[in-house]
Amino acid sequence: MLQTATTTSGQTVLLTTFFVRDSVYGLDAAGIQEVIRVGALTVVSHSPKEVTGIVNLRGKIVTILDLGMRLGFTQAVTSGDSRIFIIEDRNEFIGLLVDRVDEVVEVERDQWQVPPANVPCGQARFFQGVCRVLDRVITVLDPSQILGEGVQ
Amino acid sequence: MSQTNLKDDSLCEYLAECSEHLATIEIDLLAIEAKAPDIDEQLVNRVFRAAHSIKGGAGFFDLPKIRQLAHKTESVLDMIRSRQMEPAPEVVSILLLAFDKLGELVQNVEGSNLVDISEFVAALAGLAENHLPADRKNSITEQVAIALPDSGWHIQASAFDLSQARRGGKSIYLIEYDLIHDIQRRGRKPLEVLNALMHSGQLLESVFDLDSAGTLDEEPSNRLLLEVLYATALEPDLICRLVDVPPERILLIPKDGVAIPLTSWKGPDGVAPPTEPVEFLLPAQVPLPSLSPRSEGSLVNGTERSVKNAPAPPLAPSETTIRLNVSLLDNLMTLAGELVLSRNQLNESLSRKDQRGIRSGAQRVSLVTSELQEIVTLTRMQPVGSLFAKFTRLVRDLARDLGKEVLLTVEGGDVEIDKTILEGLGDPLTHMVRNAVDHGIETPAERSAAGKHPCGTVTLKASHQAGQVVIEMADDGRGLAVEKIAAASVAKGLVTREQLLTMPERDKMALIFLAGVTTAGKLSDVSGRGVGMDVVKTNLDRLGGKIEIDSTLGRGSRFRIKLPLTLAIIPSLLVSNCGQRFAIPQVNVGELIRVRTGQTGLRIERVGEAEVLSVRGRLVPLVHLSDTLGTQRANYEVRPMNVVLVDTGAFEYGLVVEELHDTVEIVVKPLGRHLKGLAEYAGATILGDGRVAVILDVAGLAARARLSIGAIESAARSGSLADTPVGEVHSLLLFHNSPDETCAVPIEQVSRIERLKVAQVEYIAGRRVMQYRGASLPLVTLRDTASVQELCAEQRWVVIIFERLGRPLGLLAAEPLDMVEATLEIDTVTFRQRGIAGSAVLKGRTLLFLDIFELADAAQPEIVCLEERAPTRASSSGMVPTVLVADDSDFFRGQIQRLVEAIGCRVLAAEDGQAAWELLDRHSGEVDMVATDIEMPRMDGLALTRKIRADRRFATLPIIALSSLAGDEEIARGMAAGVDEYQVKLNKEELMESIRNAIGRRSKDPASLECQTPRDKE
Repeated sequence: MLQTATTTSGQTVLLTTFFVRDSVYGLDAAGIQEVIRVGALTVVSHSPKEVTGIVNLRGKIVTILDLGMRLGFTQAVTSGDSRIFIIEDRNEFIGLLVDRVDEVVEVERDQWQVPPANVPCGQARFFQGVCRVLDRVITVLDPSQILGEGVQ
Repeated sequence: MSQTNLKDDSLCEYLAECSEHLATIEIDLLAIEAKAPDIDEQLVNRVFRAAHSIKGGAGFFDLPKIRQLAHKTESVLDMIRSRQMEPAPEVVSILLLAFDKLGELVQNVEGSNLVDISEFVAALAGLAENHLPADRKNSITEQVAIALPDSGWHIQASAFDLSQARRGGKSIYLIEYDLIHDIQRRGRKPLEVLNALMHSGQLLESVFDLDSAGTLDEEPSNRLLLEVLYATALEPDLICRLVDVPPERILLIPKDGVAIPLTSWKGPDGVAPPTEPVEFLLPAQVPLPSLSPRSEGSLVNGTERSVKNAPAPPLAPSETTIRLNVSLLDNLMTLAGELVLSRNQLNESLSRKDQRGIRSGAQRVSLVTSELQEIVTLTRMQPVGSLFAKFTRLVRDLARDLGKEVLLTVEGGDVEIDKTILEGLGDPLTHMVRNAVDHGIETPAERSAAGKHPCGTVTLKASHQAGQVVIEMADDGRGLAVEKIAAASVAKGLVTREQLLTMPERDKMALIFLAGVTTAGKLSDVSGRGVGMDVVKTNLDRLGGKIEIDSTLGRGSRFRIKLPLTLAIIPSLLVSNCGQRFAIPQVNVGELIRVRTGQTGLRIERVGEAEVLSVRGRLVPLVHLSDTLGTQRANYEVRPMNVVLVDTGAFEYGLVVEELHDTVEIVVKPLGRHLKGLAEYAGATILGDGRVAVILDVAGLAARARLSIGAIESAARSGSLADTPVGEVHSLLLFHNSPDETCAVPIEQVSRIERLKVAQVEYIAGRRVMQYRGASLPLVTLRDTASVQELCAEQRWVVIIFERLGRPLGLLAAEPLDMVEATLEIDTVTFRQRGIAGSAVLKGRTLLFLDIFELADAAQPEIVCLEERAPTRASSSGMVPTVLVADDSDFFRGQIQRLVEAIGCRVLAAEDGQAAWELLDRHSGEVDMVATDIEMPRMDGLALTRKIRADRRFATLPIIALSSLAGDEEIARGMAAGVDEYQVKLNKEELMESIRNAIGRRSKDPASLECQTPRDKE
């Protein structure tokens, strides 16, 4: 899924946009398996702080990461608008908790720009690029960086 | 290219086949060896065929090293088959090693062409050569080129093979297969074709004719030729039917002549026109142009380099593919279909709101699910025999190395167990079998001396028992030295002596699984058993297995491993804390304890920061699940406390949880990578309501709570020592005679404690006895010698077993039992009676100190009479050994004195160090050994020791320090002062051994006596 986003120039990419706190972010829609509501979460104590908990997704145990915390914000407060994006990465299903799903937009791959230079280094690795849609700036996230290696 | 595709597909198949062949070869070879000098042709044939098909395929896939090695083994096997060679152990050893190497090559096919196998080839060729008549010796290394009518020669084979084949009256054919037309287009697979050929004959050689494929510059030739040199008993007219190739591409190779195409063959009487010499004898060293595909030379070099740089792949990767019976898959398919139908039925009933339909649908789903679960589990099942098989070789090789004779018998190899468990079982079982052969089984000489058959037996047995698989490994060797294990464990501080006393024999043996015991090395010195057994235990714990030991000294040992059928679904206890549920695997759960409100203060004690729960006299450390999770503890003032006693394998502790739920079967699912590092969780599972519960790993949880064996031990120790701050501490066993009479004996004098019912006591021939370990144990009561009250039947009786003069003796007593460590003033006057040495007061209670020796002597005076002669015997052989005993306590001094006298020694007793020194000074030439207490008035034991050591007369005099509790520091101080040995007071075996050693040393060492004499005269 990552390949399609990075290697196809001149093509359009469908971005699922969503809110984390007040900013709009986008993820390649092709990489998102499904979007689920926040249901019964099982909290795992002593887990890394960005792990919200684990859920049962049709027989699979899926780890839910707080995307906001991953990006450096404070812990998410789940509301009725909160959703979990299920993404498959390295043979594992992982969930990303976001505050609110926005829309799906089509953007030209060419129009992506590199993240601005003043983005802190720690965050920059999560960003694939930024693009403007209408009057908004959408930060496109790199799912494999966001999901990370986990605990070795 | 079609060739590579062809190869990719079939190569895997070939390799899988090779592995299968190799797996059976080893067993067969060992069987062949066992039957030597008889030859079971069927067996040899089977191995031969296996080697043969490995060779055949290797030729096809261009794996020269594999082919060469397989070929050489084949030659040797052929000679065994035709009785030109005997399958002697040396021969079989070389074959086994060669097949091992072959296995390695097959595992690592890509690199196989670069592996050096010359050593093996030479060994095998040497074998063949040694057994051949002189005139055929050369044939081993000779290569013969086969003459073809058109192009001279193209293919070559070993002269040895040809002559071997011809000796069997076989005809040799050269068959030219066109892989594309003859095989692929007809929907056949090359391997199938080769296998069919091998079924009725022997493939001598197979070579790809790469020229036939044409070069890149030319037009593709549309032909890919495989030339196969084939030896078979089939007549030329039959061969066409077998190979399904036009007769013009089959050539008959006569013994001496140019190959004849079958089309021009005229039958056995036909005219064959050979006029020119046809066999070109070439030495093997000469490079042969057609042997290796030159056209690919540069390419091969390129891959060689890359292969060399690549890291070597692991030798035995765990299998990723599994062979399944098709019927199982069919069953699964049927069930899947069934499941779909049931779902439809459910959906339909739901939409119609048909309650009955829903119920029956749910029932059907549940039925299908259980069946599905059962069959899926079956697909993972593999027979234990595949694991057992590899031990035949291990035992054989090890026994040969150690110069022992060991026979391995295997039972129940068809018992099936989950693949994962089977794989995990390999290492521990190997370790145990190795131990059994190495340490368990004695050398043939030792065995004969012990009246056993010189050939030892190791038995591996698998069976099903109550939904578990039981694997048993038994040997008829020397057995485990239980007491040595126990002693080593005490020395390591892993258990206390008090724990040992009440410990069943079986648990004592299990001490070898404790980490410290095994790594100590000390244990293996004395008993030779148990190095690395803790690793065995850890491995088995991981598999959810339990291990039990049963061993009789001199008769052998038996290890029983109980394993679950599968790891994927395990029974677990569900508990909850703060509304969150957790699963604890049932194998870890020992018992559940509920501490009622108001009892918490009574049953739970605090040792420093830590909380401990006393469970039947044991102190069990407590861990609050709330604490480890970082949540608020419940208020146990108002609600009962639920404690799950969990066993980590190394130690047990009590896990305090808020609520206990059911025991359910859970499906273990792995946690995601972000949570992998958390040792306190073993995985997660989905509960009936669809929510997730994490599975607790009790060992990891203990680590999280910073609980370790050390902490537990020290908790237990400091708990019992809390009220005895200073002075010499004695460990005492307290028990009751009548309910008001509390008695005490030093714990060291007790060998065991057994519970018994009043009915077990028998009165035979005027004696009170009970059955104990297959013999009659004489029983005494304190009432036999002293005027005390009688034991009453309402009390719970115990038998305290002592030893007197090597014979066990049981003292009837009553519970409650207690173990105390206390500093006591023993009054030897007030209560002095026969059997009662004295009394002391502890916590307001009067304790009667028993004199075991008096009791025993009163009960069985005849034994004493028998034994009284022992010293006389000793004196007739020389002098009566003399031991100087120093102890300030009358009671202990008396007991030690009796102990020493019982061995037949004279005792000089002193009530303190000063008195001891004076005695020693007076009897300087007579004393053979000093046994001294440490804490004494006037001069303590250490000062005494220093004084003795300072005197040249006593430089070599053995000094044993007797103490009740010896810490490492204290021992170090003693050693510095010159003490030879530290012993626990009243430990009979140790003391006797030291005395024997000391006396043995002195009688052998007259110098020490002589050097005293001049000093004496001064």
